[in-house]
Parts: sequence; structure tokens; C-alpha cells
Amino acid sequence: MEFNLIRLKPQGAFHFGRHGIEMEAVSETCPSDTLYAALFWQALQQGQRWASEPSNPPFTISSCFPYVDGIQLLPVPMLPPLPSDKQNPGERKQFKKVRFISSEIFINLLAGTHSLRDYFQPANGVALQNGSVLVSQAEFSAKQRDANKALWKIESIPHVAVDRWSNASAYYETGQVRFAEGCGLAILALGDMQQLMQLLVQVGIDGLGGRRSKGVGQFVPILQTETLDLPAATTDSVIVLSRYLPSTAELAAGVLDLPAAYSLEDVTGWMYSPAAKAQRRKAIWMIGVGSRLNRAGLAHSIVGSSVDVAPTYDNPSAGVNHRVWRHGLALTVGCSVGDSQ
Amino acid sequence: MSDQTPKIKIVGRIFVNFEIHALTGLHIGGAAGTLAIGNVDNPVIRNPFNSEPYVPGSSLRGKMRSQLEKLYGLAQNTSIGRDVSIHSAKTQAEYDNSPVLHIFGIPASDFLTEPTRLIVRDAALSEQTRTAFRDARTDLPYTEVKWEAAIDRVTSAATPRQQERVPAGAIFDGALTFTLYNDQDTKLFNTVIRGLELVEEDYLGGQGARGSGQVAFKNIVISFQHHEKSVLEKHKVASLVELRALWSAQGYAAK
Repeated sequence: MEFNLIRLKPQGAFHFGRHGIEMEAVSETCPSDTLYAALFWQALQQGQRWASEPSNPPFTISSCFPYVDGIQLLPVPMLPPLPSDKQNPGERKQFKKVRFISSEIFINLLAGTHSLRDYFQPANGVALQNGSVLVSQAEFSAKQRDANKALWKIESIPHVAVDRWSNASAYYETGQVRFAEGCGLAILALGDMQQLMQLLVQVGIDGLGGRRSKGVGQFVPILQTETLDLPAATTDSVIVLSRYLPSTAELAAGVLDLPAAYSLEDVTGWMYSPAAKAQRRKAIWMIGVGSRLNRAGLAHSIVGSSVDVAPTYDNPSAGVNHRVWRHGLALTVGCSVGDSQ
Repeated sequence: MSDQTPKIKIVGRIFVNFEIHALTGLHIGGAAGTLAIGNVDNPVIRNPFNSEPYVPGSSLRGKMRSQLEKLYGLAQNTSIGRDVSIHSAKTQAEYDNSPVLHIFGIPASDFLTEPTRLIVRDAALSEQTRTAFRDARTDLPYTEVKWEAAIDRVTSAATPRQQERVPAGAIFDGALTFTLYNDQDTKLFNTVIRGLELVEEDYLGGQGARGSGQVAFKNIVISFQHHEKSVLEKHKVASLVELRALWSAQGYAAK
């Protein structure tokens, strides 16, 4: 299946905060629900009425994944080891370190023709970014890049807030991720590309993630002419490439039953509304990217759901008088390996 | 969203690109990566990939806000750290009447607020400066090391220290974006120009009282994109004085 590929070429650093109160802790990627929230906010400001129907947006997007000189990286799918794989001592740590793999490796893992172990052989694969990125030797050798050089760096930026009267200072640090030349983030997308690109341009000006008013988070979206051909999600097992929130019907159909394998992420944060004071949204659990889902009980593809995460209080008048959507629609690809397990 | 929800709509955006000229050495502090003999005591902030010093957007923006709060004599009523306070609003009326808060934003509050209007981007070294400093064999890449000494008034014993600075003459390419949520915001942009003027009058970064950080904003390119009508075409002006005059000539003079 052909997925549109949109590069978000960085214009500076990004701040994608991790759960918690520390401003130093950041991620190198942005989850799909955060990007969707930014697109949704732009759509609201432009009066696009589809924003009032979040269950049926004109496009579906993945989370943001890094790219390296045109090699698209994707998350490691949660697949069982192949029957031929032997667990050697010490290898598990090496395997656990890998967070992103190239699209070629991703496709081969989904087809069951290779295992991750194959790409630890120098003849087949190259480990980058301290072993957290794995690309195939064939892809890498064409790119003339030094494998020892960082693809992105997470830095802690010092700041000083200065009292206006006494000049007393308060020191603090914030984390930000900066990509090397030729690297950045990209998303996979389906649907109305014209509308998506128009909104992405505006998000790129305003910024994505935190600390936007300080010049962090700006990018230029570039719709690639080539598409990414990944297996269609018509198999019993699928891999999800966005943060996913199962609908009630999908849960009842056993989408998380074996052989599903998934990570759970605690998603919370602040909401902004022109109709209410700033406050924290309800926290929810969502399924992380790379998770494997069981589609066998469904007659159609996995869709996911959006939920209202507007805070509620004992005093009803203290809340928000409109819904606050958290996007949990799924972008999935098919997986034909290990269905019998 | 219910029909009772207040509507918020982007009317347009003002894009400003400018050069930041360091008239004296510029010290915007970074974190010392290692404690080693021979390392400079107070390094400047650098891009981790190319080691070039830059002006963080947060530094320029913070300085503009600080100076404007002082200019308007705003109450320093919100603590953001031990012994450090800034201006914020405690009531809706205070917020509604504060241009600084509309421009720079406000911490989470118990009343309705609008989105922050001003984005200030990081400013990288200009190509011209990059080339010139690369060839100049400075103390450290692109920077100078300035020695200072605290001297005992009785014994004349000296306690030396080092400051890393970007030498005078450096030029950085800066940019800011100002979002308009209604047509009256065009007058609010005068406050942004005033903020830049105040930075020129004061200093940017550290050690300003000792001579560092004098800057000038030059070769300013402004473009105003209004979503509903044709307004100012892209203009280039030499200085903030000309920018203010241009903005006034468009009928957007400050009240």
C-alpha cells in the first residue's frame, strides 16, 4: 500500500516533552496525537468545520519518525523471534537498544524473511546513533555518511530568569533535540494531502511541541514525490504507526488479544482553549507505535477512536463547556509473520 | 465545539527578518561541558553540530519582555523562582489591559487568555561572519576569551576569571513572527518594535554593565500577510527608526 511521505525539515531545535515535570527530558520524536492536536488547532483557527467531527478527519497520520539522508526510519515492530533465532547471552541488551529501523528492514521483518539479528551482522546492517538506529548496509553505503556521527543530539539548554528589580537570577535548563544536516522528522499520511499540507505549513510557522514562542519547533513540510510502499493492513496481525486508542467495538473484537503485543503510554498534558482557563487534560492510556494488534475478529480495518479528555470537576461549572479531543485513530500496516503463535 | 465558544481566528502574520550586529563582545552563556584544566570558565552557547555560537530566541525575547515590563512599570507580582518575579495578571481586567501579556503570553491563569503572539527564533551566525571569523584565528572557534580580574582594594591581589565572547563585529541572522488575531493587533506590534529598541539601548546576554552585549538591529525586512486584504508589501529598512516610521506611515502608529 502506498503511503504519502511528508518530511518536516527542521528550522531549528524541537522540544517534545516527556511525561513529568522536568523540562530537560525530551524525546526525539513527536507522537501522532500531539501533531494532530496542532493540526486541529490550526483548522479551528481557520474555521475548517471538519474539526468538529474528529472521528472522521480528512486525513490519517502516523507519529513523526526520523529520516536520515532520505532513508526513512520506522519503529521496531513488536514481533516474536523467528523460530530460527537463538537467544545468545548479551544480545538482548543490544536488541533492546534499537528504537528505529529503516523502512527496508521494517518491511523484511513484517514479511518474516529476516530477523533483527540478521542486521547486526556488519555485512547486512549498520548501527547508527549509538545503536538506537539500524539501517541496511545497502541503504547506508549509498549515502556517504559517517556512521559514528550523531544523527540528532539532545541538549540541555541553560536559561536564566532575571528579577527586574534586584537582578537576582533563577537558573533552569530545558531540553531540546537538534537534528544533524540531512536529518529530520517525517510522517506517513493517507487522505487529503492538499488540506494536510496547508495545515502543516501553518504548524511549521507556529512550531510543533513545546517552547514554540522561543523559536523552537519550526519546520518546513515537504511532500515527497515518492511514496512508501508498505504492506496493506488486511492481515490478521497489523502494526500500528500512530498512537492508537481502541474503540469499544475493537476491544470487544479482541484487538488486544494474543498474538497482540503492545506498549501502553500514559498520555496527559495541558489544554488550551479560548473558552476556558488553561488546565490539565484527563490522563488516558494509549497504545504506542510499533505495537502489534489482532485484527482477526474484525471484518474491517482497525480505525481507533478519539475521546473527550476535557477535565471534569465536582463543581460542573469549573470545567470546560466544549469537548477536548485526544486523537487515537490508527495508521496501520499489515504483518504476516508469526500469526500461528 | 459549541456555538457559545469564543471564536479565535488568525487575521494575518507579520514576518520580520533582521541582522543582529554585535557592537561590543557578546556573551550569551552556555553550559560548560567539562571541567578540565585550561577550559574557559564561562563559555557561550553553541550549536552542538557545528560549534557555532548563536543567539537563542529565548534570550532576545526574554530581554525584550524584561525591558518592556520595566518601561511600563508593571507590577512584579508572579514568582518564578527564588527571589525572582515577573509581571503577570491576577484578574481578567489586568490581562485585558496588558499589551505585554498579549504579546509574550501568560502562565496558566484562572481566566481566559489568548494565544501568545510573538515568536522569536534562534539567530545563527551570518554567512559573512562565519567566513570572516573562521579565517581570523580567534582564541576559540568564532570567539574570543576575555580575561577579567577582581582586585583586592588593599593588597591588590588579583582573582582572574575568563569570559568567552563573540567578538564585536559579529552579525547574526534573526527572525520573529507576530501573529494577529484581530486588526487592532497591528498597533500592538508597535510594542514589539519598542522592545527591540529597548534591547538596543540596554544590552543582550551577560556582562552588559561591563561593556558586553551592545547590539543593533539592522537591514530589517518586514512582510505583512493579511488573510483578507492586501496590505504592506515586503519592505526593507535599515534600522528600527525606519521600521517605526514605516509602521506609522501605514496608519498603525502607537496610541
